[in-house]
Amino acid sequence: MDYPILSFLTFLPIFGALLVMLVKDGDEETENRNARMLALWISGITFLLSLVMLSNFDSAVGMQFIEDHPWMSNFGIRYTMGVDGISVLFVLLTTLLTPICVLVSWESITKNVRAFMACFLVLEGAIIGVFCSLDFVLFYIFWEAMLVPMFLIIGIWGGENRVYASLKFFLYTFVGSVLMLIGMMYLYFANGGSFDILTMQTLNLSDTSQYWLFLAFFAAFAVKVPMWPFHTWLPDAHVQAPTAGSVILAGVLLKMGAYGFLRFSLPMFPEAVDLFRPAMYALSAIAIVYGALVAFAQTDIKKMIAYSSVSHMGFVTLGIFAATPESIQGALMQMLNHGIVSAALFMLIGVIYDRMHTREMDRFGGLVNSMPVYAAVFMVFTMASVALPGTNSFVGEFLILAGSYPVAQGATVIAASGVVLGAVYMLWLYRRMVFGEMGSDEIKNQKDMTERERLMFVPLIVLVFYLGLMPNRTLDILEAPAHKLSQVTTLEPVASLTLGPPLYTDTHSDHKGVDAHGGH
Amino acid sequence: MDYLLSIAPALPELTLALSVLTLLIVGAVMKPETAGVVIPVFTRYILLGTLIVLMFVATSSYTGTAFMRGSGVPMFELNAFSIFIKASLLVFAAISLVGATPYLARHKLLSFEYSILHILAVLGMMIMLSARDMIVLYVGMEMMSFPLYILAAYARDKQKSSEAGLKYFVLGSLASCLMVYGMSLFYGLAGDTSYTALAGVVDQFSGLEKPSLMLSLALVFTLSGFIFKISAVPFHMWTPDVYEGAPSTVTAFMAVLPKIAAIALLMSLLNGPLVGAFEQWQVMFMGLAVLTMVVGSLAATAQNNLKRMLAYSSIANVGFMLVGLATGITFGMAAVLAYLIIYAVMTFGIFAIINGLHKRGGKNVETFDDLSGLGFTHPKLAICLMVLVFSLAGVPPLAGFFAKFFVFTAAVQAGLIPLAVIGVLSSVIAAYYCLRVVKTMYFDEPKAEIIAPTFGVTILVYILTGLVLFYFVNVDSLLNLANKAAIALVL
Repeated sequence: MDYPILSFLTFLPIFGALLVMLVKDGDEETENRNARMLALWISGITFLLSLVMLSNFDSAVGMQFIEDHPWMSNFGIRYTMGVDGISVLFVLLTTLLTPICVLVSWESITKNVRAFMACFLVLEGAIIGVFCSLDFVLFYIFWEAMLVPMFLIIGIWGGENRVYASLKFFLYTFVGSVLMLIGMMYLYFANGGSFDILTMQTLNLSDTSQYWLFLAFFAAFAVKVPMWPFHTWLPDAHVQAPTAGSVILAGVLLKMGAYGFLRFSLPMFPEAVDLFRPAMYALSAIAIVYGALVAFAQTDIKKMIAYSSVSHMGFVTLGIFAATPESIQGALMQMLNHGIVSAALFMLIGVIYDRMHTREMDRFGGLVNSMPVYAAVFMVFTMASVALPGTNSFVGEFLILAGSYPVAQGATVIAASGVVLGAVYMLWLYRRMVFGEMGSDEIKNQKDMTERERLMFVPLIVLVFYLGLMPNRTLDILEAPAHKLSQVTTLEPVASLTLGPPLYTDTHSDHKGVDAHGGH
Repeated sequence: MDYLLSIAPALPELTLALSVLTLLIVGAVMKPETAGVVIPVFTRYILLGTLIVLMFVATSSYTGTAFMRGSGVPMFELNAFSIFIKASLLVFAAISLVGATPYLARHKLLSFEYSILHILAVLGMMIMLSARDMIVLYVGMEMMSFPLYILAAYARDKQKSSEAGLKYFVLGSLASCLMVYGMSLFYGLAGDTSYTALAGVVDQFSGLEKPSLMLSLALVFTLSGFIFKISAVPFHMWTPDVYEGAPSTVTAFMAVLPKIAAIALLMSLLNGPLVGAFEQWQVMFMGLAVLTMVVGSLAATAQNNLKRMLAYSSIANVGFMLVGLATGITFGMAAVLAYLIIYAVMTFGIFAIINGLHKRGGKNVETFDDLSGLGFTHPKLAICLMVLVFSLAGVPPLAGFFAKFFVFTAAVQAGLIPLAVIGVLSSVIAAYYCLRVVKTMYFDEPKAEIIAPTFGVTILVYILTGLVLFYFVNVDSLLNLANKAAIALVL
């Protein structure tokens, strides 16, 4: 590719945001409509551009679409961008979810529409920047800059308790990030005066410095994922954020933490990963079970989905730190799946919230009578969330559990019980909301989903089944980086013999094993 | 002629002094109303003229020492470091005057003495920066301080302003006393007041196995005077009261220019004559940095008055600069210089907005409540203020982030990692009060009617915000200048 596609992807939304802010035309009505249309166009073009990138992506090559320019010569800071199998799909997820978010906010955001759309586009650009940066300072800039639009989105357009939630969100993530900043400066000197992420991955650091650096980076990433017990900002932020904010938060922002573990912690501090591995297993297992149990106890639907995110991200961290090829691949897959499914669930809550202005579970019941399409869509994502074979989540969770078992039996067994718990609360939620007696006349008179609302679920439903039934193409992309990452840690799988031949090898015939499960 | 050439390095100071004296006479014979309008305009040109003279001298071969004493010991020196600081002082003095005029007019304070006092303070700063003798240093320092005492009490009808002036004067004099006492101890040790003699005695005593009590006392007393001026904890108590009581434009001036001058002076002393006592003063400054960062940030979160909040914020920022100072490495000094400039731009930007906005009847915007809903009533200014406070909080890619980045990188390079960790954690606390400003502007409903600043001030705000916002495009240029100055300093 002879043009800087990653820079286009990053800065198109940011300049688009400027454009949206400049739209000023007559009355408020027209102005709002123009802002919405413009935001949709810009994010749509960005999405198409990211498809072009994907079609040119070669999973046999590592880093690609590399751009490299000098930036701050005093520090050896460069403007370096590139994507590999770890990051490319998250760029795509971001560009897909942003136009959907614009559609989600079409009618529910009525005040300061221009500013809202601008914030969202800046957010999109910053997130893409995070996934594409190969220079640590550049990465850090995007990583932190992303907080500002999200802070404003929660704070200006959020619910009643938005101020508390937005401040908590900002400060929590800020604390973690600044510790990473110190670690990054240390690495800079260890790396001979360069912030280049790829060469940092080849450093031979002493064990002690690895431990400290791991902890510093852990502070940043664990808050973002969020891992138990650093998750308390998440339910607040989710409940108070507007629907689109929750969608992007659950869909992409949480993935940035896991991405950080994969890009930095695993390759840069293998010794520390080995040392802290039991602790990470424990935290992941606790997150899975605790998240599921707490989700079960919620009466606010949004809070319930928020806690289920804690649980689902527990699988991701388990897979990452188990660090077998299968588990890392599964973790990446699960990140993608969670991005799709939890985003859709928040959108579903948004649809019903726009109509009834409540998120209390008790107020609902019998929605299937008045909103059959809604019930059907909800069904798809409920099933995807409980990882029914045939849906995308099954592939991810299965790979994680299968890949982690050889190295972490205890945690994997507990995690597997989390799958059951997840099914319990999700099915319970679905039954309470969609079936049962109709709660009130209000529900009887609800209109079903509009065209716009149906349209925004279409790509997500397609993806649920595409990734569930035909994961090969996607797994191909994830395979090479997963193998590479699993090799940096030294731990021998203790129980691989009992499992027989490796579950997953390079040949395509083995994908069919997964497909066959999926087909049931 | 030879004599004239030999004092060429002091030409900027002489220009400034002569013109300020002339202006004083002109102002005295003019009608007060005319003088109040005309003289401030003149002063800007004088500052500009002095800057040109300074640049002319700097590019000529006439930099170096001047005013030799009998034995060839200089009392005055112009080098790359002092050129850098003096140039920024002149520029920022002019900026503070631009921001001040509408405010003063609104409060009927627009008399010509105001700008004269401004310039006199700047003159004092310039002299003290070039001093190569403790007596010259002291004279410069007092010449800076006295106009500031007067300026703090400038709104003399207001009780708070008089109180601020008095408090500043009493405490400032006490600090001067401590400093002079410390200098007298140095004199007792060295038998001379020149920096050269000072350096000799410091080298001689710090070479001893046991640290000399006399030297430590002299060091501590002398430095306390400066620490008071930069309002580092524990010598910070005067700052919030004086900042709150003084007219806001004076506050803006005091928050920036004396800070630049005093920190630059500390740098030149610590890296110059006192460099032999590095081990002693490094510990001292590490402790000061920790205290100043933590106390400043924590106290700022508890304020409801914007000026008090900014006072504590300036304390916290001084703490961050002290981190760079404590590293003792060249890059640390360059980082502090860059921090000073970025801090000055941010602070002037914030003050320009707060001083420019006012309520009906000319009342100032004072508390957080007064800013509520500003995002909807004055969207453009609110965006500027948001950018500036996010920069103050150190959010990338704004200039404030890079300022902190430089300082903490220097700390990591010098092996002071715990100091850097405490630093970044206090910057998180600092983020809280910055976010409160944004929260008030955007998440709260408008309360009082707020009137926009004048056109000139608005343009100034746009320029300063633009500098903060787009600094990342060219980070190198400022850093290169700062590096050059720092190298001259450490030599």
